[in-house]
Amino acid sequence: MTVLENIKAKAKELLEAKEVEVVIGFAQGTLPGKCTPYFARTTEEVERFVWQDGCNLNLANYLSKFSGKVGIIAKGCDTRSIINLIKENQVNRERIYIIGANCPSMGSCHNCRHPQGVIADFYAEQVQLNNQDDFSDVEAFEELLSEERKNYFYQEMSKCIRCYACRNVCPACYCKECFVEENLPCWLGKTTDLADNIIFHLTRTMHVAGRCIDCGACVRACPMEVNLSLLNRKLLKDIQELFNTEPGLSLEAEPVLNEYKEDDPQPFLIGGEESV
Amino acid sequence: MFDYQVSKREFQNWLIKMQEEYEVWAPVKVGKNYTWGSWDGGSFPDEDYQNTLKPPKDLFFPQYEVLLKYKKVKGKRPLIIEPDLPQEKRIIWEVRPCDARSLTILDRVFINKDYEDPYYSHRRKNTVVISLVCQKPGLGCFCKDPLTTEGSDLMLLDCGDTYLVKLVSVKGKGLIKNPVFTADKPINIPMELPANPFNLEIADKDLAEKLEVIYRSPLWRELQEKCVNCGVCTFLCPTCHCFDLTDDQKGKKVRSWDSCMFASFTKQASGHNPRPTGAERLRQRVMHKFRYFFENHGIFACVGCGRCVEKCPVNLDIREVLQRIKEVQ
Repeated sequence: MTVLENIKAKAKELLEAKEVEVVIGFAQGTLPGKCTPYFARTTEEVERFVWQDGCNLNLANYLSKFSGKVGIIAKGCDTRSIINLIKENQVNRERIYIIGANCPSMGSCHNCRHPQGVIADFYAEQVQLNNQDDFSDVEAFEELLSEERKNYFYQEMSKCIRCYACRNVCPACYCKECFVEENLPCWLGKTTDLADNIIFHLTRTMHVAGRCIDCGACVRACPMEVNLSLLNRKLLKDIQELFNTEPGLSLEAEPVLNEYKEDDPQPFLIGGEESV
Repeated sequence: MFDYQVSKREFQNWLIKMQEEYEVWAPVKVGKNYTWGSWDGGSFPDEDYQNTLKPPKDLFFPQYEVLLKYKKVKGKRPLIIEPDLPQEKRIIWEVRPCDARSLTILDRVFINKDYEDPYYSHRRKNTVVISLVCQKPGLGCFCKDPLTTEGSDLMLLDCGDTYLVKLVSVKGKGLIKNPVFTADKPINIPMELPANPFNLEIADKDLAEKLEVIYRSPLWRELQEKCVNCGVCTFLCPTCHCFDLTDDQKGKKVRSWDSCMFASFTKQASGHNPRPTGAERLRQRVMHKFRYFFENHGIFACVGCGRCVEKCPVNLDIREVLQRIKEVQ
């Protein structure tokens, strides 16, 4: 059986046994190469599922939309987001059934290390892939002069139209009210002024630090093609170098920035390099 | 029927001459995409120019602008400082006909018998719109008439080394005083334009009537299920015009685009929101474009440019939404 056949068979089985009310997956989109989130509630609807290049949103984002038992077809990054959501008490593990499958959009993400599901109740395919994320993009950027880095960010941030597509497709961005929408006090102007744009993106980056799993959904969602991954990936690289860990890989480990140890490396402090 | 045929070189020279009096705006290629910018006096659109990422709406109704400033004066009414109204004379060219037409939709909102928005109307009156006929549709396009002249002052059709030029408005005719453009008689379109390339007859009178009766339909909940409530569709829309007014700490009153897709849209001071979920928000977007605007102005607030179709991160396709609405029994 193909992966898609495995997925469909499992989804039908879950719906027929009433183990779940709905299965979250993808259907064919209306434009070439595009797939669209699809919520199957009957075995007939399961037939519309696809699993192919273009299934590249992070479906974990939809889990909070449902209150009952939910099945979800999850690739590597979706499962890592699910792990984070469970640990952050946003999703109840008992309420979800994870159908794991390898990411079908290989090649679209920079050296993805975890295309296969990290946790699943059922794996639709068994092939294990081994990729290495080398962070060469971040390293190349770090080599630039600070003026060049600043200019690059200014150029990228000035493209932003503040549509919040990046935030809204991000499973880690689940605040009921985002700081940009608060108006008493009004933390941030409702403009596309460069300063306002930068504050928005930097705050978002810092808020998802240690929780972002680099699924790239924000980058793909951005209509203005702002390079949103560089900041997130820089933090991932720092986390890996400083704490030797990656977010969203285990249900047990404490989220990296939730924990304090006396011997935590702190090279960002004056004299802090000595503690590394 | 077009009025003149002119070589691109002659047209370019004419436009360069116009730069003495006008700021000339054109689609400027940045990376893979086109954005509105100052024309360099030499560039013509590439063959891959379909349309700009953002519509020309920004040039008339910017994403944010300071409407006025005020200062507190002790014991008196605050001092209000009104900005100078925009006076620059502009030509924007290579506007696609759908986008040119969108300006006539915005005109109905910002320049009407009850109210004239001075910021918008100054920009509009001082700007000449030269449109360029589409010869191949984009993936999301669904306009009804690729040759519409609504909103254009002049219209161009690319014929390789030459442009056919159509005089559309008095404003447009006034520009062509200079006799570089010559023609004896009207010129027919010399090539086969794609036969009804965009002809998706989704938005018609039946749709507006259907929308009247499905306000409480469960369909809205179903349609919005995959929507993430970002503002891509509304911010890239050439006709969406909802805005918000905010006061900054320094006494500036700022008008900025709002989006019915946002959770904060129409949220009241009490905290109550009459549109509490995505279903009401999607309904508002569709109703505004295809029912309320139709009732008020006799046309839909959609020109079929396809930006929302192509850029929606979850592929919530307005064409499909309208089709589903029409299918409701």
